[in-house]
Amino acid sequence: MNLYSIPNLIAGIFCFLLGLLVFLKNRKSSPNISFLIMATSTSIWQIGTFAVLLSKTPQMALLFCRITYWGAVFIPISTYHFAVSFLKKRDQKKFVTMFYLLGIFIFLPISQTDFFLYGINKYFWGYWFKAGFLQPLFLVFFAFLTTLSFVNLYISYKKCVTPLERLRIKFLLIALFIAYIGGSVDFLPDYGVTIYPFGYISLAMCLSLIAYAIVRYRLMDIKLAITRFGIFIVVYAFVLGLPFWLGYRYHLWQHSTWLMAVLATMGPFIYLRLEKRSKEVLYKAEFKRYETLRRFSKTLLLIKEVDQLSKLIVYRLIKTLKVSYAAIYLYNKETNSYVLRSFRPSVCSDNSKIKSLTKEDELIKLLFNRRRELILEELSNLPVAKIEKNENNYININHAQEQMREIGATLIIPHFLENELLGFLVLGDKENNAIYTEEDVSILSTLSNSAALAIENSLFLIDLKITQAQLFDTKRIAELGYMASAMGHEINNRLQAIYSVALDLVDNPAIYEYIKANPQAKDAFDKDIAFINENVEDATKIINELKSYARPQESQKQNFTNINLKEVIDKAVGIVKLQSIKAFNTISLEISIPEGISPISGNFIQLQQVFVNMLNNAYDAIAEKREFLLHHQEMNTPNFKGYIKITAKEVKRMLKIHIVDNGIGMTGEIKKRLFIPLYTSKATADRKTERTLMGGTGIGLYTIQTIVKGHDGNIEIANTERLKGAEFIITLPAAREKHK
Amino acid sequence: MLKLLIIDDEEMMERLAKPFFERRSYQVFYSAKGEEGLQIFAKEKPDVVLLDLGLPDMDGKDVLKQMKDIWGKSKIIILTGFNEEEIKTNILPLGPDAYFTKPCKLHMVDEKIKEMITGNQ
Repeated sequence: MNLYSIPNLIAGIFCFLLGLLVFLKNRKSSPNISFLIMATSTSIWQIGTFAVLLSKTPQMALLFCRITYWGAVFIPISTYHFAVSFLKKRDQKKFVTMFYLLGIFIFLPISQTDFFLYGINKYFWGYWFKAGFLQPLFLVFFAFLTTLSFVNLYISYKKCVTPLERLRIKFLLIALFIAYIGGSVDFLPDYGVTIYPFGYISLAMCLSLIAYAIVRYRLMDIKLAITRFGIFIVVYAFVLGLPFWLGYRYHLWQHSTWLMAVLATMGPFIYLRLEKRSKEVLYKAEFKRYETLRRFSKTLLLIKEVDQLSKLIVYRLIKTLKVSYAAIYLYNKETNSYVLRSFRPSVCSDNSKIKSLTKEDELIKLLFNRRRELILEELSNLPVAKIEKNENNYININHAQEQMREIGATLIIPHFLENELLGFLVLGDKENNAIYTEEDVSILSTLSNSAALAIENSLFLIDLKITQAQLFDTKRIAELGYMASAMGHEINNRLQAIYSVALDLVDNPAIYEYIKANPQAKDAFDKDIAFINENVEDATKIINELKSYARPQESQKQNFTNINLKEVIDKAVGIVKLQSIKAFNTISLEISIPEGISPISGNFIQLQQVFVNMLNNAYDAIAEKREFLLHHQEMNTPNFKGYIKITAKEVKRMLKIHIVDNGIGMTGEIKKRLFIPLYTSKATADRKTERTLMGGTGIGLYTIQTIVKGHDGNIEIANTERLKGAEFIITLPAAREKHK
Repeated sequence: MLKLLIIDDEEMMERLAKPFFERRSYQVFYSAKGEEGLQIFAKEKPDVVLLDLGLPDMDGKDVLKQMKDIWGKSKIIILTGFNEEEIKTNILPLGPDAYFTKPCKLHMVDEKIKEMITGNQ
């Protein structure tokens, strides 16, 4: 028994199985078929060599040597075949056929002659080939074809722009190089050089690398791949080799079996440990980056503001990973879509980038389906069948890929929380157009998870704030209602007294007599009485409005009635005009509601509240602008006259109400936050402006929004600019049916 | 001569409303409290009662109910600071003969009383 023969046997079987595996993955693919030929040829060579080494006599060894060439001849040819089919070089197909013919009809016959294999060498590892004078011809042929394959691959590598393809070709190049070195070593003993032919290692390695590059659509870094393979070989050579050697040398088979059992158990651990160590050495820089990101993700939870959070994440990604583009899309409940929250670098802010995606978009559907990262290049390699099976509705991968390109994504990392897709990270190309490795994806997923948690947290906080504000709001209104009711009662009693006194003045005979006697006093007296009465009546109205305004709202839709828009706006105007602290008569109020506009189904008091608030806000904006102009005489607008215009039109059963003012307007920043409760652009520090019931508290617009939404409507700010005024649009649906 | 009972805790009512109605030939009784008002009511059995619902010692609604029990023939007019809607839900079920929201003009109350009495006769 020659122990040196065993590696060749193992390599032979390994190569054949590898070829079969790759072939079975895709039986119709030309690269896979050529790979099978390559692997089979190699396998014949290795198993043949095994037989040579095991041979008892030189004659037998020579016979096996000749058999070996049945495979060996086709190794360079199939390698070239593989390179051509992998690179899809159609124009070189004819050469492939030609070389196969050359192999079958020239080299195979020659290799079976004494001119090719002259006899047998004997080395310490056993019998070995002895080259005849024709063998160098084959070596030239071998070198030629290998070089041809190499050059082809290298040219394509240089031309290739997509990182994944580049990496694949790189794999093949390195695989071929390794095989070339190893193969060459195997031929040296043919010429009498005593070097142990360890070619089987490089052949197995070469084929593994190629198989890996074909089968896997996500390739690990080549450095890592080779290191892993190397470590694997070393560890298992030791684990299997040492017991064998002991058994062979000292005939301690029993002990060595035990030893092998122990070593084999330890093997995986040693392998993993070495692999981890090697990774740390190989990827020192990367690991440092990962560590930075890992630490960074831990700090995320401390940040409580979504915008700040997303900005920070994007910034950190650009800085650490040196990607060309990074962005965050987050789910927005209101619009039921994924909205671009933050991106970098800002140069990329061209409008071509999609700002939001809905759940109907193929890309989002795909994310929901895959529930894991998406790599742009891999989409075309995704197992489509699987997706179709899982999902009733078909996902158009091409569209998804197109959308990925449109949002500038090379890689998308989604963050799911249970079944909800909270959002996703978008990453552009990596530095040097490198590929995203498993490690990258894994660290990014960690980051994304932390980000998702942090975002969930901060969204929760916002929700909480809103709820608190609502609670505050309802409580406030309830309290106000109670207070208004109690105070109204008191004030009404006072008013009753004033009324009665005024009446008494007219009614009391003594006074009456006096007036009668002094006609010159009568006019002034009547006027004063009328003035008192008028004011009491006004005060009464204000108090009643206050009470109805402040009454806790019942928002059930069954209480909705058909409401005439004009009526509700007129009523609101009436109310705001009653506010003596607001000089509504100093501004022009223009209201044009077309006759015959459909009624709205709703709650009159609530809608009235909406318009009262809108009018008050507009008034405050105008007042603020007036104040501003007063302090900025240089703007030279002494004749500033405020106006509020309310117009309405009906489009497709929707009433669109425009409320335009020429007040102070808003900056973009304020505009963004306008509907967030407790946010007010009014200078609350300066109490002067906080004069309305709800305005100035920051609840105003939020309340409006809540009410409008409760009516299935919408409010948006259409247009605003600092100092130019603002335009709001309230949309309300027309009533569908008549209420009782 | 019509007997009028005013129950209202507003001092103003005694000072102004009482002479107002007296000038119009009512016999006016006045009380600022519910308990006392009920006693006067039981004793005098007035034709008309002007009742304020916000009393210091009793709920005006209870006063109204008890009056209905004691002597059902009196006309009871509610004077209240509540608004129309609250009156509709809270006061009308109690069955007053009329109501006025404060502030109101007293001669309108006078007109209303006369209308009620003549309508009744």
